[in-house]
Amino acid sequence: MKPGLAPALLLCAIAAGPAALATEAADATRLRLIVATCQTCHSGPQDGATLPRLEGLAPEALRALLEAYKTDKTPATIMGRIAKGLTDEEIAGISAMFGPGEE
Amino acid sequence: MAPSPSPSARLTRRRFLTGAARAGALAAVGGGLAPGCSTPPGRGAPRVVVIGGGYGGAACAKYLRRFDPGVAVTLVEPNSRYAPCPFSNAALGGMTDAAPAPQNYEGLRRRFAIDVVHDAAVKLNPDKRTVTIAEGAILRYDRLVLSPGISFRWNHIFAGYDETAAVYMPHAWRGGRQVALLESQLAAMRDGGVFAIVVPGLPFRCPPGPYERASLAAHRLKREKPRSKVLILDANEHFSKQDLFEEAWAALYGDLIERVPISGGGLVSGIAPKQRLLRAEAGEFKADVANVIPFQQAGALAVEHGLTDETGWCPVDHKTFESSLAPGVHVLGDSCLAGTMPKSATSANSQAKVCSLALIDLLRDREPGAMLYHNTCYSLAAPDYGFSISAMYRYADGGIKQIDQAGGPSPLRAGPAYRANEAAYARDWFASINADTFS
Repeated sequence: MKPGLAPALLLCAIAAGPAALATEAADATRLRLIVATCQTCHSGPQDGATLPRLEGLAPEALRALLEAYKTDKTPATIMGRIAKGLTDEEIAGISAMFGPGEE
Repeated sequence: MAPSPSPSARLTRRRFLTGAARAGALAAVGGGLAPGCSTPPGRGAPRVVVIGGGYGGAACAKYLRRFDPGVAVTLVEPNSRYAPCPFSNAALGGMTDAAPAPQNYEGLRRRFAIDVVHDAAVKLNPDKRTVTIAEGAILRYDRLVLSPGISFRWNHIFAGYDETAAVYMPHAWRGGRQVALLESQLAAMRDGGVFAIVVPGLPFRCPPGPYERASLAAHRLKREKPRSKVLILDANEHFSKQDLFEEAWAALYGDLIERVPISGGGLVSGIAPKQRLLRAEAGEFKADVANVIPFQQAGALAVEHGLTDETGWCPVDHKTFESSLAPGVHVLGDSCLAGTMPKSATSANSQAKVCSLALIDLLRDREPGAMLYHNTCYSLAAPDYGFSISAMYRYADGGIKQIDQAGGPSPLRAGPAYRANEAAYARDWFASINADTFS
C-alpha cells in the first residue's frame, strides 16, 4: 500500500460493502497478531539485554530496519530469517502500531 | 542498532493505519494495558476456561483478556509455581546463573483479572460445556482451551522404563524436581563415568533438547571430570540442527560425545533401571548416570477424554485450534498436531495468540481470518556458543504451511562472535517469553 492511499481504500471498502469490511477486519486482526508475535521475543527487561523492546520506536525507522533485514541489507543473526516471512504491507502496518501512542 | 525517533512519527502512524487497526493498536502494544484488562467483565460475559498453565495455556489466557477485556477467563492449573523446561539443560550443565527461575500466576491474576484456579481438571463434559475440578466444583464455559503439554508412554519400546524407573534414571523432561535429580546424579558421577542419554522416536517435546543436553553436560564434564563420556542412544537417524550440533561438538568436545543413531543400533529396547543397564541393538551399555527420555503423546487429560487420534496427539483445525473430535474444545501447544510446527515453547506461545484471536471471533460471531504462526528455538552447545532455528507459517489450503523463503537454521562456520551473540539472544529470549507469558 502506498502512503496516502489508506483513506481512499477505506472509502472503497465501505462502497464495496460487508465483504470488504470483513477483509479489513481480518487484516487488522492479523496485524494485532503479528505485533503480539513480535512480543514473544521482545518483552524482556531492557537492562543489559541485547534484544530490544519495540514499543515507542519511530514507525519509519522500524519499517526501514525491518525492510533492510528482509532484503539482507542489514546484517542480523535471526531477524533476516524472520522478516522474510512478512509482506511489505505487514511490515508497514506493525511498524505503525509499535510507534508512539496518540496523546 | 535501535532506530532513532523521527519527527514524522505521528504522521506516519496515521498514514499506515486503517481505522480498525488503529483502534486495536494501543491495546495490542506495550507494557501499557488495554482499558478494562485488569477488571473482570460483568455478568453474562462469554467465558473461556483454559486448562494448563504453561507457555500455551498461560499465554492464551493472558491474550484473550488483552485482546478482548469483555471475555471472562478462568485458568485451571494445579501448581502455583511453574517450572520452565527451557534452560533446564543449563542447570544440568552447571550454568547456575542461567538456571530457570520458577514462574507464578500472580501477574495474570492481578494485571489481567484472570480467575486462576490452582486445582486439577479431572472431567470434561463437552456436551454440557462443563469442566469438573478435583475438589468437586463444576466450571461452565462457552469455549474450552486445553494446553496440557505431554504425557509419557511408559514401557513403550523402552521396556522396563516406567514412573518408578524414573527415580533411578530420571527423564528430566518436564522441568522441576526430575531435572534437579538428574543434576545431582551428574554432580556425583565418578570421573571416567558414562552419562547416557536415551532419545525416543519423534515427535517429542523440544526436538533439539536431547542434543543440547548432551552438549551442556559435556561442557561440565570436560571441566569437572574430563575422562568421562556422553553417550547418546538414539531412536532416530537425523535430528534437529544436526549439522550445527556436530560442528560444535567437533570444535568443543572432541570424542567426549558419542552418538549411536538408529542405523548404528541406537534403538534401546530393554532397560534395567537399578543396574543402569541399557539394552540396544548395538549391544548392552552400562551407564553411571542414565537419562531416559520416554516416547511421548498428548497430555493425560486429552488422552483420557478421547481427544487424540491414532498418532497419540490431538487433531485440530489449524485456523482455530478447535479439536476435530470435540466441538467447542480447543487444543494447543505440545499436545496438538500443528503441521510441521515443532513442539516448542515458542510454538505454543504463537499458537496461543492465534487461538485467542480465533476464540474472540467465534465468541463474537465473526469468521476467524487466516493467521500467521512463528517458531524460534535457540540451543546452547556451550554457555557462550548458541544457535537457532526459526520458521514462519501461514494458514493456507486448510492447514498451517511453512513459508518457504523465511526461517531456517543459523549458518555453519559462522565464527565465535556470531555464536556468542546467539547465546546472549537465547538468554534474552527466555527472559522475554517468560515475561510475555506470565506477566
